[in-house]
Amino acid sequence: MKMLMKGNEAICEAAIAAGCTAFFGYPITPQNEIPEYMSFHMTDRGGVFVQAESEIGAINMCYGAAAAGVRVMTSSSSPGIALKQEGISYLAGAQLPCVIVNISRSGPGLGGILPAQGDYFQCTRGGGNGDYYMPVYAPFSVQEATDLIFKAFDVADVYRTPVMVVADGMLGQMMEPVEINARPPVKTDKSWATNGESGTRPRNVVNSLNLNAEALEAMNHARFELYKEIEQKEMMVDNRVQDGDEIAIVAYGAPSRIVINAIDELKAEGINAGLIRPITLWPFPYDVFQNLPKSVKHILVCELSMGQMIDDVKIGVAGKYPVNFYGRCGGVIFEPSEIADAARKIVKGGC
Amino acid sequence: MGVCIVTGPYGSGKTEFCVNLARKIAEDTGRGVTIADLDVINPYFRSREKAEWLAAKNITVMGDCLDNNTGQDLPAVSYAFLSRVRRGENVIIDLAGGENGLKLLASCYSAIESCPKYEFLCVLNLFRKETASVAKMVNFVHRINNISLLPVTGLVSNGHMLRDTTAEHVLESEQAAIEASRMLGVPLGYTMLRRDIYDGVRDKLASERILVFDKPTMREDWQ
Repeated sequence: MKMLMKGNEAICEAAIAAGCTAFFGYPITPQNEIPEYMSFHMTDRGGVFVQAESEIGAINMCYGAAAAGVRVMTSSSSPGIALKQEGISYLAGAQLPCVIVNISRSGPGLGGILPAQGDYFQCTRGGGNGDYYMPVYAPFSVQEATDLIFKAFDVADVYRTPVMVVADGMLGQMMEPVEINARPPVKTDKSWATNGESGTRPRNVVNSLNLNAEALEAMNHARFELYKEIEQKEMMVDNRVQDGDEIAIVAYGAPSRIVINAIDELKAEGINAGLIRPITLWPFPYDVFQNLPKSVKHILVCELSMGQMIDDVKIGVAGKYPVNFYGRCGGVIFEPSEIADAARKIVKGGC
Repeated sequence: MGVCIVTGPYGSGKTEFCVNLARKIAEDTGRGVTIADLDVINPYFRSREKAEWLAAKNITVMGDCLDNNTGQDLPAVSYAFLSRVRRGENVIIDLAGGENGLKLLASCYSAIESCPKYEFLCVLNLFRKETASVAKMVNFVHRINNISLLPVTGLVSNGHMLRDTTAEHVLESEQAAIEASRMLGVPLGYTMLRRDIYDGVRDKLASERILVFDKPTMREDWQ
């Protein structure tokens, strides 16, 4: 049955329904409802909740719980996610499944509490050290956020990797009718877990430290084989560009809804535009940009940042089209009319 | 009207109710209305976001003492509205959700209690988890009454699912609120609903006071 839920609450309900039994967090606006909700509902349902001493403490508790083989989640907002980067790199190095939720705000530094998308580089390029990636899901509605939480836990388990769900503050705070489409967790072999059964099998050690150069290189190669598989199987994109569209507008997350309204405005005046909405920011849907209808002449990237995803769009486009940008930042949210103006100028100016 | 204090669970639609009530009173009486935005919990979707727009409708939003800064993470509560309460002006107090939101009420208790006329309304939506049944609605009002110095004097049925709202949602929520009101011995103060739905159900609504709005004030069109 559908209920009216705030993004942050719905993410918690989905995580619990997905079998998350451990949550470690620390308060920061605009994600505070997540630890608050978890503090009420985790223990009721047999799980563990700890408000850690810091974001760093929380991510390292996730490392411990993940190593013990349970489904674990943490959440924070941009500056807090920055603090977690060391732990995320360790999770990737130790090949541990964990779901990290980023309800992003404006930056850099402490920045502000209003919504922004300036964490694209941080989440898709590995904010921590070493050679690693992690799957990053960017929902555009509260419903999609809940659906992607189930996906995130499954993907984390299947590929033994940290997975991030990034939604800006708007989506975290926004209410929408939601149905929690619970599904049984995918079954994976967790015989690597350090769950205290050393009497029955050789001892398990979970570690990202490897002082043997060749062995560490081999581990990195093996992990990158997994990344290739993730790129092939897990990439998700909502491509609404149709034959006849002159301009493709690329946006992700809640701001893509503003773009959808702008596209309606443009269509009403005879300018055909279509949305490309990457749902996974990594792996990024590069191929989409090589297979656009012939009618497409221009690309416009819209982000609540100074322009970060635009770099990936340019890789995808590979010089085939001019790539334009329109963004607002600092917590300012663009209006549909601003996007429509930018698109109109590009189409009419023919640049 | 005097003073109207508005409470309810998180996300029950308190702010939307306050803004719509303020508009109705400003229109009906031709007098100014003050909204005291005392939401110190949720930094988004606060009435101060619409302060400029409401000012043109003779409604003053008094949020924090930092010029209604919407990006403010600190409470910085302004009690300047209390002078308007004491003068007997129309003041709507928009509290933050749940029990925590009530804490600010303690600071203005004496000013409100000495008002000749005040209402303390609790906004309920059957489609929010905390008030998803009659029993839960009753329980929520009990929780508020247990810690509040002022008892709830009326319920507001705000049954909705945002854009997916149907007449059934409105009527079902109102029925539950009526049942809760009977059990609590507290009247149903208002039923709030969108105009396009109101046109189809006006004969079926039980509440004496109906608050009708054209579109949600606190949500942008694209949201």
